[in-house]
Amino acid sequence: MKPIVYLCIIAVCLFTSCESSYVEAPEPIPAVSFNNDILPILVSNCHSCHEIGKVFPGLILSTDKAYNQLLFDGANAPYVNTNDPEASKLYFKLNRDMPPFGLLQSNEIAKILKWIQDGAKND
Amino acid sequence: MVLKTTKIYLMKLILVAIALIIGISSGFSQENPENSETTKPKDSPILIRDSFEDIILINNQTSKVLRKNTLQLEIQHRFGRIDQGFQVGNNFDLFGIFGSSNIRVGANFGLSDRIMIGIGGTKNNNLYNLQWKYNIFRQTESMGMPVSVTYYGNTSVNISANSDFVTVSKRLSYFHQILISRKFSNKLSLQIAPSIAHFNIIDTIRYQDISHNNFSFCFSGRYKFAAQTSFIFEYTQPLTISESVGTKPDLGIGVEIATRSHAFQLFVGTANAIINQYNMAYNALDFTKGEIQLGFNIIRRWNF
Repeated sequence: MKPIVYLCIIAVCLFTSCESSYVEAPEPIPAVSFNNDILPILVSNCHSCHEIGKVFPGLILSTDKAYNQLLFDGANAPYVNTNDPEASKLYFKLNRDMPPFGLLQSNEIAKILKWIQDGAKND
Repeated sequence: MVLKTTKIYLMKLILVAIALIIGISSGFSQENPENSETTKPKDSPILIRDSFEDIILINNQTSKVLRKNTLQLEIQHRFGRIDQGFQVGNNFDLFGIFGSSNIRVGANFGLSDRIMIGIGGTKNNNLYNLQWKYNIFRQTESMGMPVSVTYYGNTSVNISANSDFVTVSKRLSYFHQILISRKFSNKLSLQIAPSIAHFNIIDTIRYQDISHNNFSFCFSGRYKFAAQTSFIFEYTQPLTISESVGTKPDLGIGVEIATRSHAFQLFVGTANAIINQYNMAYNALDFTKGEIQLGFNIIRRWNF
């Protein structure tokens, strides 16, 4: 069979897999702990750049420093706003362009928002 | 709901029809010796070649298609933002060169003088794409065809470990573009390109007014000021705007250095996703605020 025919078959298969779906709302999240739920997300997704000597050392997101950096010591702290959680710099960046290689999953961002809404405690 | 479903099926029908028309018309042109590209009847029009040096121009495609049995490898790199290195608390990162980056590597092959296909992988968003291009009309020196018209399409799959992608098809996005170009002289070529992008899944929780279907319009061109060097530019205006995303147009300007088998493009621009549909729908960088980055495209071709 001519190559063009194979291409058309592939094209038909691809085009018929077109659909229009929506991300489902995350399930309600129970209380979150910073050390057990939030810190692992930040360390695994952000620490590779947010560290001394790396791309953006102004906000260090290591295991031992992340909490203080986010609330007090970071270059543009505070990154959380417990009075208006959705206006937090952290929440804004996570929904806009951080991490730059691909945004976090919706449920991970929802956990972080829940943590801010619950007072952004170091627990 | 019924109207939405009808629109979806209508779009599928149109896309399938395009694929069939391409297949059927190509089959006829191959079988009919009078249309063979190897014969030149006395009154055949003289084709205008090389409106552009390469098949890509900054972030967009050109109307050029690889010739038959030509293999092209390409590396597309976008550095970090030039302005971020000057922000409080950040390292000066040499105008974004040491900042966060995006990269795509890809390969394309010319099946005929009118059709090419390609594959590639992109770091940001973990995208792998299949692409194709078909030169529908070619500009001639006389006798009727003042422009080249080419159809470009790609399908990308997002392979991120993301629980939102509950099926494989939800990872897919599509892009289609009609490239209309004209070579005005040996120095100047200009191109316009209406485009449409479709995402199989969108996050309306995060971006309340985002749409599955996105439209845009691109204007690009090159001005050859030396034998192997050109000034290149592109401007992509999204026609589907999302306030929650903060959709912004893409502006890119740079230079291209090209030989018979190489091309090197160096430029500054805003859109950094490289894959067209993601640039269209999610570019929020504003060139009026200096949110630009350096980037380059490296191309190497082999003829077999």
